[in-house]
Amino acid sequence: MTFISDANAYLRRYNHDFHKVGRVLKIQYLVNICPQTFGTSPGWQSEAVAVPQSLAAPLILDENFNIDRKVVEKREAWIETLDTSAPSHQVGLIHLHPKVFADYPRLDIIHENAVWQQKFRMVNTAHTKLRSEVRGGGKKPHPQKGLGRARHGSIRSPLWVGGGRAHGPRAFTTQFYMLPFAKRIRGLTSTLSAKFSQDDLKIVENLDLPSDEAGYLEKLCEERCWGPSVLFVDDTDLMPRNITIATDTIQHVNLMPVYGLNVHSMLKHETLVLTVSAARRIEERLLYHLNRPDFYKMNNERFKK
Amino acid sequence: MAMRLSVGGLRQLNKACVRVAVMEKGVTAVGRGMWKYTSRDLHTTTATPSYSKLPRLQHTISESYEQVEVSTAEWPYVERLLPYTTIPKPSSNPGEVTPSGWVAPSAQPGDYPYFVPRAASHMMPVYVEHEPILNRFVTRVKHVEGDIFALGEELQEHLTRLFPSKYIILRVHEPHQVIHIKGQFVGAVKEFLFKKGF
Repeated sequence: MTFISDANAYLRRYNHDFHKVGRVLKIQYLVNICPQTFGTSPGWQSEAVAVPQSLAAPLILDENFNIDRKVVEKREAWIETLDTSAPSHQVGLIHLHPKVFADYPRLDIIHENAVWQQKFRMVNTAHTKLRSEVRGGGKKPHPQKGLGRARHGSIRSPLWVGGGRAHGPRAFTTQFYMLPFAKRIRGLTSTLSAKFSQDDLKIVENLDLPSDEAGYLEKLCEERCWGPSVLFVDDTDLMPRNITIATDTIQHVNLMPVYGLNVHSMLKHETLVLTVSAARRIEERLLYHLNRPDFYKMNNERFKK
Repeated sequence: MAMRLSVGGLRQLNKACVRVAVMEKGVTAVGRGMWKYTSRDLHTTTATPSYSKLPRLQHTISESYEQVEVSTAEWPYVERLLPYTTIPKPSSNPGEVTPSGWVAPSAQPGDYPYFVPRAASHMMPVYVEHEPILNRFVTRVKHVEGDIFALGEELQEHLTRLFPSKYIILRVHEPHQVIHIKGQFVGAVKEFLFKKGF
């Protein structure tokens, strides 16, 4: 408690804008000036929080991003743990690349991605019969001339009630199309950024749960205010045993590897939980695509079925 | 006669050919084209397994290791043949004009209320697009960060001064971080941004 008030004094002395960067600076103060007394509990919440004494060095995952020529600064997120028996659920700090996690969210591109994901797998089963497929109608209903009636050749003509349908929907027409590559990449960065800015994107150290009970996970999500539906994303597709068993019976809490991450799933789930390795992997892949020299080629080539 | 042979007949003919070939030279000697119409009963496994089933980076004969010397010293020569994953950043001083005419950026974020970062190719993101049906040219300044409206106003003022006879139609599209200018002004806009140091 004493060093938290020390941190406040430190901030006041150096005229730092507390409201903007206060919590991060405070952590930096705690790391730099009094590393021995630094605990993992967040100090900014209230003065009354008892910070446990711990000698473990704080985990700060900083990357040397190449962002000298970028107005948007790198984002900072807490690294949490899924172990509720830990003294604090925040175990460290991670820096995220602004081009991936602080992109200007293009809502139109997010929408295009969502629509594309619904449509490309859809097959339309609406079906109507042509005049040749409707039963009957082979005989000319009445002579061409002499009766004062209209000229008709079949009672199943599209003009007749109960006749066939001209240019109607035919069954099993695919709705498949491919969204341009740039829009798929931009959709991912936009959705990740929107999620992050809405505080719906959480970073955890790993997916290790101390218990394999579904109730444990449900209680954890409720305590953290992660909403009803949560999507856990890890770098690997071999998930830990406990979280696999715990999520097996909960329909709205799902697991996904990084290579399966998509806009639809991110929008469908209230909270997106990434492991540290998943976040780094997503950054690496998306930055590679955003900077690759043959990006225009990827964007212009036609998709071959 | 050959023209009137059906596919089935052709298959039979090939079958006979293959049988002869098998008898004479063995299966591997049969030409590729003949496999097309041969029936299934003649299909045997090929002598060589498919490419994907080969053991990766391993010699099937362990003795062959003795004749191979593993050396990593030449790897840089291989590396420079590999395509770049990103376009490398030029090692020029800020504001330097290279012999090719490329200008190194010198402005830093914060110098102006707005900022125009270079594209991944380190070029100025100013493009002209032609809409053929309308026969209209639109100049676009893309990826503008910060106060895009300030840049829009400055561009409007600058272009009006440069081209007094023209009425500059300019639109600032903040959600897409783009400025659209009706007409072909790529050179003028690029020069304006280069002077600012972007």
